[in-house]
Amino acid sequence: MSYLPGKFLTFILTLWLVSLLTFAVFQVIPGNPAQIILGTEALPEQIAALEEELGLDLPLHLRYLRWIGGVFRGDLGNSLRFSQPVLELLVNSLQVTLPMAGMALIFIVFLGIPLGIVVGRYHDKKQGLILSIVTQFGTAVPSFWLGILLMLAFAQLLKHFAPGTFVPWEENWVGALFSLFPPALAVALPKVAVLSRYVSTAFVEEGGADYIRTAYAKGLREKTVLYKHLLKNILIPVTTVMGLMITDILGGSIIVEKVFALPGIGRLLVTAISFRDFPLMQAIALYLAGMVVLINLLVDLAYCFIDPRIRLR
Amino acid sequence: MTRKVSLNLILGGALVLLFLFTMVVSFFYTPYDVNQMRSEERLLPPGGRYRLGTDNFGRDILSRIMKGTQTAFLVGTISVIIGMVMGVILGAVSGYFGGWLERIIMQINETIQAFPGVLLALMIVAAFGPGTFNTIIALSITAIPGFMRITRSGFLQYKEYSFVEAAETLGISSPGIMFKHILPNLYPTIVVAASAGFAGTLLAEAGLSYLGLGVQPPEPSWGRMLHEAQSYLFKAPCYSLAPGFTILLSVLGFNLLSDGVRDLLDPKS
Amino acid sequence: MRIKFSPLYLFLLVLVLMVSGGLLLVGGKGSENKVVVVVPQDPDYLDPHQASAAGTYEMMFNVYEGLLKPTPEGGLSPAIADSYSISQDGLTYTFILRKGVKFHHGREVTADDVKFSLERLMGTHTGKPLSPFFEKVKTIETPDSRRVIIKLKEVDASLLSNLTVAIVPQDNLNLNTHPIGTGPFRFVEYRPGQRLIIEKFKDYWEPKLPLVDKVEFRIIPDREAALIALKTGAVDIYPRIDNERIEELGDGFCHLQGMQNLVQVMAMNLKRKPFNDLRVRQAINYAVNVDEIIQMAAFGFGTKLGSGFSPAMSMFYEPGLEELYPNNVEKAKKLLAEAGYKDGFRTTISVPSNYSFHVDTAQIIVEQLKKVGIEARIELVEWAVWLQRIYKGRDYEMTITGLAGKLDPLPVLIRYTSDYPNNFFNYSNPEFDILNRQAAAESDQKKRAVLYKKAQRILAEEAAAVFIMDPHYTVAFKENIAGYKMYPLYIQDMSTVYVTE
Repeated sequence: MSYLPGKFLTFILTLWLVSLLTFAVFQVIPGNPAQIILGTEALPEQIAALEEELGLDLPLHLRYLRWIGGVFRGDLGNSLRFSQPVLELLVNSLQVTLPMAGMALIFIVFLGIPLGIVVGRYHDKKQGLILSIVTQFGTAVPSFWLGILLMLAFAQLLKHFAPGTFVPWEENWVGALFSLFPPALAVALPKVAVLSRYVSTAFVEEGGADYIRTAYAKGLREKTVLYKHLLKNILIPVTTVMGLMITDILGGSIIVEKVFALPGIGRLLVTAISFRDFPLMQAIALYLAGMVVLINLLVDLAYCFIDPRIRLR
Repeated sequence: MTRKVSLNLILGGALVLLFLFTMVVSFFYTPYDVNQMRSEERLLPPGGRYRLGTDNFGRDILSRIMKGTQTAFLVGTISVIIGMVMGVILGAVSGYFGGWLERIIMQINETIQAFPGVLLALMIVAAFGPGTFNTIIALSITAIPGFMRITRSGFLQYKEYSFVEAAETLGISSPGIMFKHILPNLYPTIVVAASAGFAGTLLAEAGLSYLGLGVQPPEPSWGRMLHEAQSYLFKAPCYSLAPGFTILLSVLGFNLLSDGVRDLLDPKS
Repeated sequence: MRIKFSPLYLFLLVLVLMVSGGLLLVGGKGSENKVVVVVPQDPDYLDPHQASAAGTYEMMFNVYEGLLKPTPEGGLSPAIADSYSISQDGLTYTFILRKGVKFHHGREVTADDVKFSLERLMGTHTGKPLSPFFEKVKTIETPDSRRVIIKLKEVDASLLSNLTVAIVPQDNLNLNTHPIGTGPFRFVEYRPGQRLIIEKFKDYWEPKLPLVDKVEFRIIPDREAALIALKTGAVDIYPRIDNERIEELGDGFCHLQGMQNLVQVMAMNLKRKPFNDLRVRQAINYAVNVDEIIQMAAFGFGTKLGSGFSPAMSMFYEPGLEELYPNNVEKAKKLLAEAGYKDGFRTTISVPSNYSFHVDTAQIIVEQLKKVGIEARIELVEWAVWLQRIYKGRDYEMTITGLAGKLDPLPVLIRYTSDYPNNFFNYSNPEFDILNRQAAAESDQKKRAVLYKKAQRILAEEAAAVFIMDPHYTVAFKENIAGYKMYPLYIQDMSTVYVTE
């Protein structure tokens, strides 16, 4: 099977398995959403009536077909906990999570790659060693602890920072950006360290020093050399790492959102799980897993783009 | 180059040994009873009678951190071992036999990997309830793909070698070739991955316990301590520092150890 | 060699700009007459008849009203109804509606709307009741547009307190997206996980109210984050702040404190060994030091309880029971020995993991029980599992939870009657059942009180559970906020709140 169609087939197959798995796992979870919605005062007749209304009394396979059919029509059903369309809830919380992830990604790329090159360039000097120790520590920092520390710092130093309060974009986009800044930093910093280590290793292995020497001999400007020649060669390991990192950011933001009490997808997921809100849980799990699968596919496509030889492997 | 190699190894080894030592000691001795509560000595700052201060119940933080190493190592060791055994077997089978078996295993692998670790853990914990045992299961599953990948690529490489062909012509059984002849060549890589995996598992356990889904109270766990410390962030900032640094150092130790071992086995990098 | 990476510099520049810009913009809050209140959770349904979460009622109390309205003292005052009369036999209630009460969409409330709302709750036309509280209602009649007559099958002493349920217009059935009531505020917007906004209803029947133009309920589940939000000025009112955190607020903040009409209780499964033995239950009551729990878990801000009833409802409360089992390790050991558990026993305390207050309490109780030889293990269960397995399935040994009080003693004490479907204590006492039945059929509130007090004493003497405390409810707010009223109910009444200066 040739490279690209094969990848697409895996993509589709994985998505289907993911949908099956998310559905299955959430069916075996103990707890009755009708009971949770109605709370401690509910009488058995009320619970039974609500179960029927929510379609919880249908057989499993019918419920799966109903759900997956809805997904294809773009209808994710209604949340049991919020009595709102799941899609709306998802879009609503993605307005928080996606910009945060994007911001983190920007930090990672714009801090990680330059830092890695610096470390690589001075790898046999004292400065390089010190930086390398710093990044070594950086990779070991739990991002949620970093988040706690950042919150302490931000709330203590800048008296106006209030976690848990996300200003809607259309109201004050600078404020929204600002409230996402510390969590994005908490997600990004450990990853900056990781990326910089990959970049510096690749730099040293690609013989960064020799590159520069040759380039100087040719009379090119240093910067051009670094960005044109070298970056191209370290792009493949970087792409691989970035793919893994995006997955990590998606998962890691669940915890960091909890630290900063942000109303993002992580909080929605935790709420959905604790209220046994099946439609919402399934939608979020499907979304997260789907994103990962999609990113893996994009990484594979990126390989082909960077290095056409891979297609032949 | 050799100097730096030993530095990673020495530092990493020393940190890991320090934690191992602490764990052993904590079985016999902690400065104070781990769960004893003292209502009049709550949230004390470090120094004084309690070296690292006390928590919101007046329990000694140092003792709890020491005891927490047991939890961390228990979860870490078992998860990594399960993940490793499963990963190696699946990776070996798919790498050696190839064909439809490989395709199925790879597809399963692909599906597991589609779930970010935290999501998978959340799902498992939701289905089976929070607790140490289920944390271990969740972390084992997330550890499988990493081991599987390196084992598979190792097998793909080695099965082309002549000694494998020779063994096949001698009529040695497939499991024999796989586990007696090919696998030993991969031990170094697997050890490096295990050490790094341990670091990852420590982080993941701390994260889950922080979310309140991992290890359950009153059993001390570093992540759970951070969870509790966050409620007293401004009143007792030191409470959130101690467990955080402990996690940082333990993860650092295993990362360094992993790097050190890799450098040692593979001198060219 | 010079190090120069322009993207890095650019990046740093953007950072500095963002932080300073953020400071300027987040700091400046508009000068509109608006109050921001922290709430810990999202509403479940905006339709008041479908909603059952206390967290929903807390906010929507400002949007919807019933014929009657709870008062801060725990009584009832007329709202949509102007006055009412009860027939001699206690079976016929006649309500006269207030003149000029308007729904938020502008139409005046008629008797038909009342009939429609109550029948919707009773399930008269659907066959599926939305509320169990109107089972004793026979008919609802509307002789004219301002009179509603409710006829009962039998005497129901708690009917009036149940008539605080929302009256909704019969021409709007999209209450989940367009909530319309008659309350002092009208619904503006709800963003899940973020906020719910209501604004002043200009045609409210009490012309002076409400005093502020806009109220935002900001949803912040994390208590630490909520505290910081209050400290930094992002919110104005933080109800249910942790009591021990008040001192951290410092200047510029005030607080009010009171009982919240909640019974924190450790239930023991009375159908299981060894809890079926009264001596064991009494021993546990002697072993548990409630004062210490109040000190450790609530930092001293809790009222000790002796039975399943909070002193917040003083009229029905039987005082003195809280000293029935003073902490006494020796006595506990003796009772255990008599019951045949000289060396104690092992047991499990299951606690809902989302309530850190109960988790803390459990940790303290485990240590206290150790002293009398009982080895208790804590099992944390998710709320969903707790509801299904422990509350409904009654599969547990011991568990800690909080039982919310109501305006009426009936729903509080009915929990212990043997035929109540949610009697997860497995408590069964014929005398207690009879007292409750008599009280339910008694329309004289004084006589009811005597019966309910007797019932409380039985619960305490039989050690039906370990009754711990009513944790105090503290609301903190900025000093420029005034007019906040506390209720013995889970509600935020914003109508009387105003901003000074």
